[in-house]
Amino acid sequence: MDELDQQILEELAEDAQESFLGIAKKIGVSPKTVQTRYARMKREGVILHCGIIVSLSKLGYQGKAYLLIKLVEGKTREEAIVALKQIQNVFLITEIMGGDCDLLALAAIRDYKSILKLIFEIKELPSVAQVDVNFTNDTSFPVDKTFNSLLR
Amino acid sequence: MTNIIRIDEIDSKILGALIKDARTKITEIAKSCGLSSTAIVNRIKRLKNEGVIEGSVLFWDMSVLGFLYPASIGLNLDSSQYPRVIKIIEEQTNVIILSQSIGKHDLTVFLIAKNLLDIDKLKQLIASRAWVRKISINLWTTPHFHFGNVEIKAHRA
Repeated sequence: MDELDQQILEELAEDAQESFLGIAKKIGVSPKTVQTRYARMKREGVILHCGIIVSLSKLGYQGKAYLLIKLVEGKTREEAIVALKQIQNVFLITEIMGGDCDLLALAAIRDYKSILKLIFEIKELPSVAQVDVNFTNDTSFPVDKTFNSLLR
Repeated sequence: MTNIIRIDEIDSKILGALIKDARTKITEIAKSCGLSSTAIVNRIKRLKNEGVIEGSVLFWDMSVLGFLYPASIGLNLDSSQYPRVIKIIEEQTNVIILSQSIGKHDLTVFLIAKNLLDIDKLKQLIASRAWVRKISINLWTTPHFHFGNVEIKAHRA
């Protein structure tokens, strides 16, 4: 990844929907160059996701839950991950090293009833031993606008 | 209490497409909805004006620039210590999300560190400047996104 790639990433971090033409003008290269490099960075996995941020509160959600999941001894993480993927409103799953759990899942939460339903559903999974929750009332999905501050 | 915005099936489809990829071609969305591109553009404008669409975000492989360790840190502390601890955390350059939470932890921090020592240094810094009951560190090894899993429900107008 060179400086030009990084400039393109910075522009996209500012506005992921900016046209290639707009980015090209700002950086001083051709739109075709931007398009080609964007495609390459996506192909190579440098760019992982380029999406809009939605205010879930405007759609009736109250917040997000961080679910810290401990697995039963001997159960594989893969098994649990496959099962978690099926649960509605769970939008991120990661394996965890160290810390107080084996997996972390993030879910969008509509209301109190839905947290209960979600935790119950996860606890029912045969590989799950324990679930702890952290509920936050930030509703920007998937993340807040400040997320790309690392690039500036 | 935020007012809930009424959206219909078409808005739902638009949001679904743009959540997956903000650069989805308008013509593509228009085709799958059976509407003109202008209609789609107008709907997107409305969704932005009403604050349903807040902006956009780029996730990229930060390991390329040396940010190797995404981690969430959970802190348990008295509310009296919040301002002090929040100030310390906000001064860090690798912290991306800081939220108050209810449940296992009182403050949840998400950051991406260049090396594990940095995370340990932050832990020690917080512990030295404020009274914190517990600091838990969870390193994210393999994050997978499933943004399409979130139900974008249409409320009939």
